[in-house]
Amino acid sequence: MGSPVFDQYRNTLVREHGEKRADEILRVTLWNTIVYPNCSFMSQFRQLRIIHPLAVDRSVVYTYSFRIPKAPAAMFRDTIAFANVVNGNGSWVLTDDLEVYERLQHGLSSGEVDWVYIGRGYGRDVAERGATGTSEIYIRAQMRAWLDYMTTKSSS
Amino acid sequence: MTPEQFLFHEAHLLDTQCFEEWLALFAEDATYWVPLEQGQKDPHQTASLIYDDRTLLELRVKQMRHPRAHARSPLRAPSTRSATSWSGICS
Repeated sequence: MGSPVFDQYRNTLVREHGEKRADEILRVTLWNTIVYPNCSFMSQFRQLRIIHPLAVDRSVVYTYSFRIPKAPAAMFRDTIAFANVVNGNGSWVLTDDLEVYERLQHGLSSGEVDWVYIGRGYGRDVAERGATGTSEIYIRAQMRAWLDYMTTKSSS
Repeated sequence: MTPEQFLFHEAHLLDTQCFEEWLALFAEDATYWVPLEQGQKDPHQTASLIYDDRTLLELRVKQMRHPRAHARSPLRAPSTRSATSWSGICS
């Protein structure tokens, strides 16, 4: 992380929030964050995605890139570069993901599959740090939230 | 090679999926830019479809050859294809 741009950003944070708070902020290194039901955040890279379902087999993914107030201008260049390579239509990351999603959808619609396995990482999930990168806890958490909404009686 | 022949040569390399030879056409300080917006002037303040320097272009070609680059063998098409369109070439 020791680039001139990052150092400049860190200095700004220290100036605004003090050494201790700046460290706390920078120690957060989450790759993907899911906010139920359809918001996906990549805070380290200043990217926010909204997954907007149109039909059972069709969604639009909106990607927003963030400019952090008072952060060095070069940081936003990196944000845009990341969006191009990772989230854009011509990227070589998301395009493969989308192809995988489409094939999964295709396979599931065959009706020959009774269960979808979402057990990766089960029993090894931890509350904050040290979870493995391939844990499917976020999918289980989404299913649990959905089940809650479907089965809890509305109080109104 | 005339500019016209060069363009045909480049398109042929893409059509026959000779990506490494295609990559070799680019200078070390090349930029490969496919803008996202009509009349887009700035590649740094707004996203582009592609904005690759030579290093990213190399990685892109490598990725295309990767056996698990699923987008390169789409479910709904026999294989990735290229299409080229030119107009008003003067040499």
